[in-house]
Amino acid sequence: MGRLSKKNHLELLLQKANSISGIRKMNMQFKEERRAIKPLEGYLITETYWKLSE
Amino acid sequence: MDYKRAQNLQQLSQSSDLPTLIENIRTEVDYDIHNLVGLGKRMPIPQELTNERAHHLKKAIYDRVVEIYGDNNEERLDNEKLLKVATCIAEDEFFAETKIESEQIERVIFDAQEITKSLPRSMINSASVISVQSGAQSGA
Repeated sequence: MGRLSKKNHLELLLQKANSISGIRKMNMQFKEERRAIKPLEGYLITETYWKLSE
Repeated sequence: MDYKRAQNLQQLSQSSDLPTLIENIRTEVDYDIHNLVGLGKRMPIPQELTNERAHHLKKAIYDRVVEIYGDNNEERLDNEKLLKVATCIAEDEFFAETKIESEQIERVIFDAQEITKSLPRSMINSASVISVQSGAQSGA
């Protein structure tokens, strides 16, 4: 019983690690996509950049 | 972490009451596993990013956000979204220039605040006196 709960605990920990790592990767990917777009035309925010945030 | 693990193993090899010992170091073992699966992984902080520089960069980013917001305020209807977009642009501009992410800036400031909180009040007061004195000397 103890061993099973420890296994479950480890599985939950791994799931959590995977989801956190996934969120970090998505966040980095979004930043890279965002940084590839020209944000300003003169002083004004470009339409493409504005739409990316929707 | 390696040092801790070696210490744990040494304790284990010397003990005759293993179940009690394991229970005693359980939190540390859990913490090791926590780190091994990547949960303790945090963004590295560049050495040149001091608390003072972090505060300076944060203010510079904030000033730039205000500037972008002001320039676009009449053009856009959703002010909340405009603030978010202006923040993204300002952070990206500073990243392109410094290679420092806003999360790193926030972490340096947070860590410094945590250290200050953990210091006894007498130490913080004397540090402020030293800081004021050195400021007065450099200003003189």
